[in-house]
Amino acid sequence: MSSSARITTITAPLERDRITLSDHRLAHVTLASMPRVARLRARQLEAKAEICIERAKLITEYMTELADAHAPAAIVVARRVRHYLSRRQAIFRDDNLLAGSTTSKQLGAPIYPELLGLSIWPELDTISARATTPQRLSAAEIETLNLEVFPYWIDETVIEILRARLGKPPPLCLRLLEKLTFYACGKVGGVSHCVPRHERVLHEGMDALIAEAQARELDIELSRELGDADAEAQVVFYQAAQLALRGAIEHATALASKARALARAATDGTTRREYEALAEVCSRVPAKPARSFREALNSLWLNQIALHAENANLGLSPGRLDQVLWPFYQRDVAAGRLTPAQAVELCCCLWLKLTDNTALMTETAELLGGGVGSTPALTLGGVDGHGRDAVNDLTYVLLRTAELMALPAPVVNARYCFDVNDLRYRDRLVEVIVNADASVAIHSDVADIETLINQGQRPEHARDYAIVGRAALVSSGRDYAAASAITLNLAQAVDLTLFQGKTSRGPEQIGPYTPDPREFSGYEDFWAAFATQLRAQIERAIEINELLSRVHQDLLPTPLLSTLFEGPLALGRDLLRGGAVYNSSGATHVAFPEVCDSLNAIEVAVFRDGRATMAELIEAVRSDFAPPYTQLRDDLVHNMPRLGTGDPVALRNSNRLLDLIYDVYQSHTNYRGGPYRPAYWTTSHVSHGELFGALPSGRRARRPFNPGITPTIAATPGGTGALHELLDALASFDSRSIPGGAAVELELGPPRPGEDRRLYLERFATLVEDYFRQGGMQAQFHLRAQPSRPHCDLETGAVISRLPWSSERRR
Amino acid sequence: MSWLRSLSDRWRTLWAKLSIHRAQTKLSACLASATLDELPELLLRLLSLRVRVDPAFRRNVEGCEVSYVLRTEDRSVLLSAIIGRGDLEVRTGAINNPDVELVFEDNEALERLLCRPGPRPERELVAAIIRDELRYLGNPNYLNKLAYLTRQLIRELQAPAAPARAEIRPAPPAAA
Repeated sequence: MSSSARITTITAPLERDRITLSDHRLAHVTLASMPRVARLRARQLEAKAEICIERAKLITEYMTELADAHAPAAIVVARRVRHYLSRRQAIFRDDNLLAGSTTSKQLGAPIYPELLGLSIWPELDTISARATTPQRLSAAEIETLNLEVFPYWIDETVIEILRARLGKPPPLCLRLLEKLTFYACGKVGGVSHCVPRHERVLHEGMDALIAEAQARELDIELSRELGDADAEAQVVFYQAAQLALRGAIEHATALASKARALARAATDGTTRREYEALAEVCSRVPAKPARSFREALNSLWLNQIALHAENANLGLSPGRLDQVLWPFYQRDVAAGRLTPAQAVELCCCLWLKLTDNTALMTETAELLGGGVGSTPALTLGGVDGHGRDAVNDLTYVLLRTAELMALPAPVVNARYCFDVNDLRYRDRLVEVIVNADASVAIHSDVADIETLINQGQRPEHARDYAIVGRAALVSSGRDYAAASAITLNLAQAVDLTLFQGKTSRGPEQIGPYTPDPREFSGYEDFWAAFATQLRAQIERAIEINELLSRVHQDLLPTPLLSTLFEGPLALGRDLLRGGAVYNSSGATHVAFPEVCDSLNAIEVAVFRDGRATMAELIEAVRSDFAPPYTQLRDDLVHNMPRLGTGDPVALRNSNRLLDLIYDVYQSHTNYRGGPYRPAYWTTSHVSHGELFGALPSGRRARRPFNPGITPTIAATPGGTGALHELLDALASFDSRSIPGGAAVELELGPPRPGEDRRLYLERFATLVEDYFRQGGMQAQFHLRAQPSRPHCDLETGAVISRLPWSSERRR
Repeated sequence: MSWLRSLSDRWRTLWAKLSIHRAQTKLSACLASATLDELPELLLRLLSLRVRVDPAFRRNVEGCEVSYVLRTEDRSVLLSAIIGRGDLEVRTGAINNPDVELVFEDNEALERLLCRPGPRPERELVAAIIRDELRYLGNPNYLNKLAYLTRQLIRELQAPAAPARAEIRPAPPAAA
C-alpha cells in the first residue's frame, strides 16, 4: 500500500459541522477589536527578562529542611514539586483572561539548580547588565542563590552525580561532552522535550487521575507478596503521582483564593466580575472536568505550569490544540456561549501565557545560541487517528491567533495532508505566513506519518502525531521521545577522518585511529574511515546519554509528567522507566549540509578530478584556507557538487550519509527499551558553527552551520539555481531514514510592489504542494527582502544563495 | 588548646589586615601588565586575605570544604587552594587528590576564567576550553564558585573606590 493510501484509508465517517465559519479568515477579528489583547501583547513585547528564583529557593528549602533522606526518589521529587506548587505566589499580573504563570516574573527565566542552573554562578553580579539580552536579578536574589541555593546543589546536579558515579579519571564519553564541540546531551539540562496528553485532565479532571492512582495503589497493596520489588516500585509511583497532582490542584486553589480576594478589593464592576470568573475557573480546573472552552484552556495552561514545576522549560509542548480543545469549542459555540471572536481572544491570551518564560542563559550560551531554548510548540491541522481531515473551525481560530499575534513564539507547526486536507486550509496557511511572517513550519502528513509507522507505531497513533520544536515528530501523549537527547556535530567526523582520529586543533587521540587519508587510493577508502569515525562518535554520544539517563531514572523521576501520558498510570511505571506506549530517544545532527558538501568536494576534487591532493586539502583546512589555498577554496566553493542540487554525486553522498546515521542509531536500544531516532533539526547550528574550524567544502572556520538539512548553496556558479531542483533534491530523501524529523528553512522574497498578491500566494501554495507530493517532510519559510540563506524567488523559480559562511564577519 | 588556636586566628587576621593593601596594589599592577606575571598566586592570596578579614567574603566559604590545584601544563605554575573551616588557604605546590584540578595554558587563560569581567572582557571561558587553553578535572561548579569570588574581588579592585584598609571591618575568628 502506498504511503498516502495508508493515511487516507477512511475507517470512520467524517465528523459533521467541522467547518461552519462563514469567513475562515475571521477577518472581522483584529487587534483593534480586542484592546485587551493589543495591550497585553504590547506589554509582553516590552517585557525584560528577569531570573525567577522562586522554584529554586522553595525546592532547596524543601531539600534542606523537609526531605526524608530515606524516601524513594519519586516520592522526594513529588513532595518537592508539591511543596513548590502549594507555596509559590499566586499572581495576577494583568487582565489576561487565563489565570496562572510559570514564574513569579512578567518574563521569567526560571532556575533549575538540579540541572544547569549553577552555570550562571560566576555571572551573578553581571548578568543583569550584560550587553546581550540581560536577565535581571536583584541583590537579594543574588545573595539567596549564592549563599543558599547553589551551595546545596553544588554536588547534586545531574552531571555531577554522574561524574561522582564514574570516578576518576572520567571516561572519554564524558570528557568529549565537556569539550562542547562534539556532542551535547539534552539530559544535562532536562528531559522536557515532549508532548503530553492533556485530554484526560480536561475531560475528567486531575481528581480522576488521583482516584485511579489511589485505586491501583490499593489493588497492588492488597495483592502483592512480601519482597516483590516491582510491586513496591509501582506503589511508590502511584503515591508519587498522587502527591504531584495534589500540588497542581493546590496551586489552582491558591489562584482561586487570590482572585476572590482581588475581586473583593476591586473598585469597579468589570474588574470584580473578571476576577470572580477567574476564581470560579481556578476552583474548578484542573481538579474537575472543564465545562467550557475557557475552563479547558485554563486547565491546559495550569497543567503546563505544573509540569514546569517538575521539568525544565525546554520544549514542553502542548501539542494539537485544535484537536484537544475542539470538543469544548464546538459545544460552547453550539450552545451559543462562545463566538469565534471570543475564542480568538481567549487563544491570544493563551499565546501570551505560553511565552511568559524564557531559558536561563549564561553569557557564552547567549552569545553562541542566541537565546534558543524554551519555546513550546503547537500543532494544527492534518488528519485524525482515522486518517480523516482533522481541520476544523478551531484550526482557523488558532491560525487567526497566530496571524494577529505575529510573535516568534510559540512555534506553530501546521500539518498538511494533500488529497485529504482542503486546499482552502493549505492556502490559508501560506497566507498566514505571508501576512504575519509568523513562525509557522509546514509538515507533510504523508511523509511524517509514514516514517512513524516505519518505526513500529500503530497507524492511528502515527496519524495523531504532534511536533516538538519545529521538526521532532511524536505521537501525542503516547511517545515519550526524549527529543533532543543527543545533538551531534557531524563535522567532527570529517575532521577526525582527515587527522586520523585527532582534530585539526589538538594532539589528543579522540576517535579511533584510521589510516592516513593522504595514502587513500580512492574515495571509498575515505568513506570507510569517515564511517568508522562517525560510528565511534555516535556510540560515545549514546553511551553518555545512557549514563545520564540512569541518573535521571534514579534521582529525577517524573511522576507528574508521567500521569499525562498514555501508559504510565496503567503500568505503574514512570516515563523514565519505559512507562509510555513508545519510548524512543531523539538524536539530532548539526552540519549535515556542510558534511554532505565536504564529502562531495573530497570525492570530486581529490579522487575524481585531481584538482587537489589530499595533503593540500588537509593543509588548506588546517590553515583555514589561508594563502596559498585561497584559490583552492574558490574552486571548492563554486565548482563542487552541492546538497540541494540534482548532481548524482551530491544525491548519492547525502542519501548514503542519511542511511549510515540511521543504521548506526537504529542498531541501539535505549534505556527504556526504545529505538534511537536520528533527526536534523534547527538547533545549535549557529553555536557549533561558531566553534568549529574549516571544512573541505570550502567553508571557513567559525561560521554558523546551516540549519537542519537546509542546503548551503544553489546549483550553478554565481549562486543562482533552480528552486524546484533544490526542493526535489531534498524531497528525494527517504523520510523513513529520518524518523526524528528534519527541518528545512528557506527564505522567500516578499511580494514585490504592485505584484499580484493572489498569484504570489498561489505560487507559494503550489510550491509547498509540489514539495510534499515529491516526498518532502517539512519546510519553514521566512519572508526576507535580503537573502541570508537559500532565498526563493517565487516568480522566476530561482534560488539566490548567499553562503551563510561567506561573510568575513567573525564574532 | 582552644585559646592557642584563637590567639593564632587573631594574629592571622591582624596580619591579613595589614597585608591586604599591599596585596591589592600588587594584583592591580599585575592585571595592568602585559604578561600577567604571578597572577594566580596574587589573586588567590588576595582572596585568602579578604576571606579572612571580610565577613562578606568569608560567608561564601563557610560550610564549604573543597580543594583546588591550579597549574600550567608544564607545572611551571603550581598552586593549591584549600577551602575549609571558614578559611581559604593558599599553598605553593600541589596537594594530593584535589577535588578540582584546573590546568591552564598561561596566565591569560586563567584570567579569562577567574577575572572576567576584567581588563580583557572580550575573552570567553568556553572558547578557551575549546581551544584547549583550559581544562579541568572534577566538579566545575566549584570553579564557578571560585570564579564568582575572584570576579567580585577584581570588580571591587577596579571600582573607583576600592575598599581601603581602614574601611574593612574586622572579622570574627574562624570557627573551630
